[in-house]
Amino acid sequence: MVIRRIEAGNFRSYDELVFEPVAGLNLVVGKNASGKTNLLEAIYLCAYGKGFRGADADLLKRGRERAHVEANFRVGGGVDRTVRVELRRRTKEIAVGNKRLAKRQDLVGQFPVVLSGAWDFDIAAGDPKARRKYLDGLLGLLSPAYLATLRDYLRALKQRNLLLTEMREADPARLREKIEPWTESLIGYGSLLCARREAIVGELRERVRRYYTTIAGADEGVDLEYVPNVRAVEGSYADGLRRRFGELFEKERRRGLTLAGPHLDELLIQVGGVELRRFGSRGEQKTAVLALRLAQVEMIAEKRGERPVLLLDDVFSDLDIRRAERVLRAVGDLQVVATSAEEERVREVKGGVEGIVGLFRVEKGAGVQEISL
Amino acid sequence: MLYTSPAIERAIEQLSRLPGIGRKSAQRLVFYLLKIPEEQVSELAQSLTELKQKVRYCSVCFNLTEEDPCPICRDPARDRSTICVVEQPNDVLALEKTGQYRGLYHVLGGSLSPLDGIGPENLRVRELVQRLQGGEVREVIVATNPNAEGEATAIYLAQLIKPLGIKLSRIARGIPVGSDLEYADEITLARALEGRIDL
Ligand SMILES: Nc1ncnc2c1ncn2[C@@H]1O[C@H](COP(=O)(O)OP(=O)(O)OP(=O)(O)O)[C@@H](O)[C@H]1O
Ligand SMILES: [Mg+2]
Ligand SMILES: [Zn+2]
Repeated sequence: MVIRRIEAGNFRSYDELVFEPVAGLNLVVGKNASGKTNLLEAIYLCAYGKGFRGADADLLKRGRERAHVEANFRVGGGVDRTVRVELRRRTKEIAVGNKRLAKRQDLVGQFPVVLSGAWDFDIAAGDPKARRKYLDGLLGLLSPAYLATLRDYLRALKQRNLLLTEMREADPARLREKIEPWTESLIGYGSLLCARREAIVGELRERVRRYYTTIAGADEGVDLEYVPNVRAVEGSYADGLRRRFGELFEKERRRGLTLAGPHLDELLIQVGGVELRRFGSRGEQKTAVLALRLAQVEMIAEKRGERPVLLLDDVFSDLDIRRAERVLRAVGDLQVVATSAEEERVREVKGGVEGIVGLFRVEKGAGVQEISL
Repeated sequence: MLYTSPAIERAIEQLSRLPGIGRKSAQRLVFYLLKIPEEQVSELAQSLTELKQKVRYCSVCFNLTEEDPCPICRDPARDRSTICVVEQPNDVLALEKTGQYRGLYHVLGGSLSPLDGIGPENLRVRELVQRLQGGEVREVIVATNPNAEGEATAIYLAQLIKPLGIKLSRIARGIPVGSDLEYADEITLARALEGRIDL
C-alpha cells in the first residue's frame, strides 16, 4: 500500500495540511513542536480511526468546532481508496469511499500502517504489558478474529474477577460453581491466544534478528522468547490452563482475583544473552524496537499480501550515525514517513540512500513543504 | 428548557426515556407528532396500548406472542424433539427467517453476565430444564450469541444438560465474529444450522 495524499483541516496544530509523500522514503524535518508527530498522527487516524495520543477531542485544533482528515491510499493492484474522518467535539465519522463505517473496528486492518516512536521504548524497557500489546497489535493486523478472541477473553476475565471479588465471603463450593463457565471461557479463548502468540514469536525470531543485525552492523545475538504465564501441558494450552486454575482456586478465592492466564504473558527480548529490558543501552533498545517494527511490517506484507506503510517518529534519536544510515537501508523500498528534528543530521545520513527519497519541512503555522534534497 | 405547554413537556419527557432517544430527538418527535393528523397519533397511541395488553410471553418457550402457547409451540408440523435455545425473541425471528429450522425454541431472556447482575436465576433456565425432563426432547441446539457472555451461557447450559443424556450442540460459528445473531445475515445462519457442532 502507498499513501498518495493526506489532507486535513483544523487537525492538531494545523489549520490546513496537505502532504503528498513519495512512494519511497519520506524524510520530514522540522523544529521541536513544529507538527511532525501531528502529521504522523493524521496518517495514523486514517488507518486506525483514532489518534495515538489522548482523546478524540484533542485532535481538534484548540478552539475549533470541527476537523477533518482525508487520506488517499493506493492499495494492491493499483486501486485508489479514500478514507475520510470527520471530527466534532463529541462525535467522529469515518467513511471509506462513500461508505460510512458503523464502527471504528471496521476500519482497522484495511489499510495497514505500522507506527514507531519514542513511546515504543516501553516495548524494550517497560513492563510486559507493552510487549503483549506489540504482539497483539501484530496479530490483530493479521487477523480480526484474533482481536475478537482477545476482546472476548478480556471480557470473560472481567466477569470472572467480579465474581471472585463479590463472592469472597461466599461458600467456596458455590463460588467454584459460579465461576466455572467463566473459567472454561478463559481456557477456551486463552488457549487460542497462547497458541497464536507462540506461533507468531516463532516466526518473528529470525526476522528480528536479521533486522537487528542490519541496523547494528553486526550480529549481536538478539533472541525472542514467548514466555506464557501458563505453560502448555503436552502441547495443549487448554490442559495447562485448566490444571493451573485447578491449583490456584484457593489462592484466587482469597485474593478475589484471577491469577493466571495470557493476560499475564511475557515476551522476553535478549541481546547477547542478557535481558534487553534490564541491561540494554539506549541505542540497543532503539535498535531492537526498530527491528521489531520492521519484522512486523514484513510479516504483515507476507501474510496479507499488502505492504504496510511505516511511520517512524524521531527516527534517528539515540542512534549513532552509522546505525542511523543503516536504518534507512533496512527499510528497503517500503513507503516510509520518518521524522527528525535535526535537519543537518538528516542531510548527512540520507546521502547513502538509494531509491526514491523525498525531503519535507514542517513549520509551525505554515504546514508541510517539500524542499530540495 | 421548559415549554409553556405541560403536555409537550410531558410527551418529551416520556419519549426521551426510550432507549437511543435523547432529549433533542424527543423534541423533534413531539413537534412532528403535533404536525400530523390526529387519527394518526391516536392510532400510534392505541397500538402502543394494545402492545402491552395483548403481547405476553409464551408460557412454554418464552417467546413473545399474542396467544399462549405461541403459534410455533402449537404448530403440529414442528419437530418437538429438538429445542433451539436463544437469548432474545429477536433471535427467534432471525432463525425463522432462514426457513431451515423446524424444531421448537426456548428464549432465555438474556445471557449470563455478573457485571450486569445477571445469573442463571435471572434467565429462564429452570424452565428449560423442566421442559427437557418431559422426555420428549432428544436434541438441544444452543444458539446464544458468539460473544463472551453467550459463550459462558452455552458452557453453563452444556454442564446442566449433559447429565440428562440429551444430544447437545452449539450453533457453529458461520456467523461473522463479533456480530450478534440479530444482525447475522440469513445465509450464514442457515449454514450455521446445518453445520452445528457437538458440545
Ligand atoms: N489540539 C491541538 N490544538 C492546537 N495545537 C496542538 C494541538 N495538539 C497539539 N498541538 C500543538 O502541536 C505542537 C506539537 O506538535 P508535534 O508533537 O507534532 O511536534 P513535533 O514537531 O513532533 O515536535 P518534537 O520535535 O518536539 O517532537 C505543540 O506545540 C502542541 O501544543
Ligand atoms: Mg514529535
Ligand atoms: Zn412458545
